[in-house]
Amino acid sequence: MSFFEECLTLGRYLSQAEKEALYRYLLEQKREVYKSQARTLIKENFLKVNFANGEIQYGVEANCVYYVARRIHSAEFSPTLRRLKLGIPELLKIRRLQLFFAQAEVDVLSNFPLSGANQQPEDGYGINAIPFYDLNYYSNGNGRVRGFIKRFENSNSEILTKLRTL
Amino acid sequence: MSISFPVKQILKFKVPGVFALAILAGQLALTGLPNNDHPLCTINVERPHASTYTKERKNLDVLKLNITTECEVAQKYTILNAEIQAIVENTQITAHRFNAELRTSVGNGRKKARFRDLQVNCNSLESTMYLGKAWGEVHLANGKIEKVSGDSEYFISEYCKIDAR
Repeated sequence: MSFFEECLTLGRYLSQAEKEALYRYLLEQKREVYKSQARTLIKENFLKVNFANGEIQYGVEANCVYYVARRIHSAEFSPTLRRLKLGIPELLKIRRLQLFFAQAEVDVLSNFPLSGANQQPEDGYGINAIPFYDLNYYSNGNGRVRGFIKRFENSNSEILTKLRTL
Repeated sequence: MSISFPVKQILKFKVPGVFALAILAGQLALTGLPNNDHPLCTINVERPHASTYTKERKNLDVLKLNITTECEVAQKYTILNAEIQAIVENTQITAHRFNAELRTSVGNGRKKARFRDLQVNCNSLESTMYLGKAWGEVHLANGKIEKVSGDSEYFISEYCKIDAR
């Protein structure tokens, strides 16, 4: 089992550093997939994707993308907790959607992992309040400039290398 | 000569009905109606503890902080900032600050939100005194926002020293 496959089963036991590394890894590995998904979403204003043990439904409303998610075959969707304003130019829209897709998949992965050896607590839907695509995440809400600096200080390169190679 | 007070007349004094109503209306306008719908949300910050489960499953030493918020009415979700404080060389310091986390409500009536995956790597070779602390907002189903804050009350020793970042 690769390290990435192991991450798919960890769910709530993923550390924050692992989630950050997974976000970067997904952006890197699924760049083209996300691009094609972005085009579909822009065209149809709706997109359904399965990832890990979750189903994600994306929508676009008033030039903002949002998602709801649920465990596959479950009835109840999570509330809409994330929204991202899309720009006007097509290229910017696609770039922002790529970031949003990677974030949504990390959210879903940590809430609805594949079944594995780890017993998952029956808690509500949980996410980091500030998304990885917002530089405020890296400064924990203390500004984008500070976040920009901290992002490079803490690159989680060890976990990222593990994801790429193992 | 004896002095007598007009007690009867004082007791018989009547406030005209319209005037009394005006006073009541004025008081209500100033203080508002009694606020019975104000919900009380509480936060329970458990003591930080070394996770035996993560040690067994991932062979990793981690310090966990479990937190629950609970309201008298339904909540949508809670957003919390949390940190673990430690005593190092007789000084109280913030050993780790978690990124802001959000959890949707669970349970009967959707009154609770549970945070049970706040964890930080540590080293089990050394013991340290820890205290958990959290603060944030509960977003209620009725649209109102309640502020909450609390801590685990006292420092407790754990055989797990948080690595410096």
